[in-house]
Amino acid sequence: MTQDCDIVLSLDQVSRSFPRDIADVPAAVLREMLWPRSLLNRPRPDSFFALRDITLQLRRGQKLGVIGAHRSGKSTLAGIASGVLHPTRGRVAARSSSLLVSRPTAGFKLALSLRENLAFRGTLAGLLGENLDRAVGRVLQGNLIDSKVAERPLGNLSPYLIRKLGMDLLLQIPAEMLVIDELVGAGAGEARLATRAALIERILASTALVVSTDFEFLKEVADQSMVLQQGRLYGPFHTELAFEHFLRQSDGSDMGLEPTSDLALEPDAVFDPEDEMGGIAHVEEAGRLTAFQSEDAEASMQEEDERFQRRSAKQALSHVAIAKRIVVDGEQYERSRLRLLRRPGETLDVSVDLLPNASFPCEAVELSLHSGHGLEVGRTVLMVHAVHFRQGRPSKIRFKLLIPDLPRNHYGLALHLVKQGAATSATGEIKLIVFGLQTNSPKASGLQLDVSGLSIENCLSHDASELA
Amino acid sequence: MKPFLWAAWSLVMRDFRVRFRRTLLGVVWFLVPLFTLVSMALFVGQDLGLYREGQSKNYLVQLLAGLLLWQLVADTWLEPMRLARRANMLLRSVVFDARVLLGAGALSALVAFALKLPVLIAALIWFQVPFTASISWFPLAVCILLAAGAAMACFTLPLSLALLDVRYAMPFVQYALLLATPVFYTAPQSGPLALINHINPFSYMIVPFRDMLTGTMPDASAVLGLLFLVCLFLGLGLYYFQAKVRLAAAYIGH
Repeated sequence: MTQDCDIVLSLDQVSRSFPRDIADVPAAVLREMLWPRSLLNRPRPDSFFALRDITLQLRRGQKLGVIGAHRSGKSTLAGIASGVLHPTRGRVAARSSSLLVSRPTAGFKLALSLRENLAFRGTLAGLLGENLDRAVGRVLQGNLIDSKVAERPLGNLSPYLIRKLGMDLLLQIPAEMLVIDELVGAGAGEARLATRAALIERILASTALVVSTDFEFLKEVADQSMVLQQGRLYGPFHTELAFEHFLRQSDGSDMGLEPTSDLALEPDAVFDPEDEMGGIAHVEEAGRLTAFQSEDAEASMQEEDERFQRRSAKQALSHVAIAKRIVVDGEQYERSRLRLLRRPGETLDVSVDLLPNASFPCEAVELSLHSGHGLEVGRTVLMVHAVHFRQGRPSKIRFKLLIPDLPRNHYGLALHLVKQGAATSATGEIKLIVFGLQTNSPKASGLQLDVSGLSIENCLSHDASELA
Repeated sequence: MKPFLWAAWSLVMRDFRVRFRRTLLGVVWFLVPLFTLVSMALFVGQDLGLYREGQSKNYLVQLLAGLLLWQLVADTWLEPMRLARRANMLLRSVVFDARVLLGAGALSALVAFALKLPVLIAALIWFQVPFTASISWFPLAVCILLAAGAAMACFTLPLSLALLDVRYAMPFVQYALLLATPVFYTAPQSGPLALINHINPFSYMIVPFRDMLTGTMPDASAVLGLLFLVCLFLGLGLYYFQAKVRLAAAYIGH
């Protein structure tokens, strides 16, 4: 009973279906509006599921992340969890007041004054009298806005400032549970960092469901995260593991990258966690996902599920190692932040901590460079000898890449460990980094990558071998 | 209740400020549709046989009273949809009681009604229409009309969010209903128009309340029966509204 009281949000078999094309199927929309909910349970051929059979429980004080690609149903999930949307099927039980942190300027009118806009948004959230005045006052004071400016129309202020003010007001609204929908900061420069910090502080002090693809943010606020894929929720896993899973299936478009710039992954590839994590930590979680996938296949004979299973099986045969930590020029590289910018002729000093998925002798290390359009623009194969990777034993690969003279674009660097006696296959590649190239060069000048200083070090045996 | 009313009032005031910000006439614009309809009816009414020569004063008072009451229902019905359209992102991204939109619609209609009411009172005084005991039913009549409009809005607001046809069709539906209600003309005793008047539920609200304003005592049992039916309809409407409005909100922006 005490445990039940701890649950502040419970989603039980929640689904949300939509007509496949709202513009073409008004009859389906009308049906949804006119039929009682009990008759909407059965999916029709002209509808698809934005969310399907989502079961989730959030305990008091818990912080749970949700990662998902574009159009995977993230905002719908956030909307349903916060109560702004209703599901077509399933039950949602919320035992606390909730605040949806999304679109901080929703409802703002540029013709009205800043104070009027803030007061209206606060009123709608349930603030009254002194509480409302105090909240609006704090927002104005915190942003050093005097009463004269506060009475001016909102249209006179910068859009960045307006967003920040909206965000600051949201953070003043009392609520036991926060549902964050992608919004992790507002404003520009330092101000953005300040709102981000304030949001983190608020999340840490309450119960929160954080829907985001900002890995850094999720890592800071949530120990555990779930992965949303095609309307289905998998997990929970440790946030890092969840993000790895997400990256395997994402085309990168959600992280500020061009859809094809994130190289070395088949567009529809989904990793198999058991394969990735075999014999090491997180095995339990990996097992949970695999079990879920098996159950899922039994439960549903839908074509999409079968495809999901086939992808998983295919991926299990291909991945040889996982890149756990990447350091570029002495700084840890995070895929969620596209901040690497280089010019031709400069070098990238790359160090990768690898976790082999199986034991195998390595014959060669292959490095390939892909453009933002998905085309391979450069490749080099470096033969190695007497290097044996062991399953679950971390290894470190280090090399220096001379940036080639290529057209201005984003480029992705991938690494491939060639097993002894095995043919080179694209599916075994491990994506490393994505960097932007600042150049005026109109076309590619060379396809051979200039790589130097390659070394592979087995961390346990300390059997480092200088190879190049 | 207080936060609910305050939120509804804030929404109405915010809407008025935006609507009348760059206007010279301001809230006087609320009177323009009323004056337009009344002047058009007076201008062509005699030729169309809506009233006879020498009856224009009586007709004008009846028309003003009827239109005023009709517009109260129509505004209570349409305003929530207009407010929802102007604040649709709020519905999609702010956690609040969506019934605030219905409350705000009713408040907005009531404000417009209050602005028009002096015109009717002036006409009653000008044409020396006696104020009788029937006027004491007036507050109840206003409540019934507000409830009827809000009940209609309960059904049409979620529909209009999901299907734009409903939004586009609503002005035509309202004009058709206005013509089907004996506001501009005296209800005929027989013929197709009489049948239309009979099947139109608004005839049973607007006509007795209009006559009540001009001195005819309404049938108390009929008014109470009407009150019961309207409350029942409003209850059903609120049930439908609560069940569907957040489903419909998912279509906002698509």
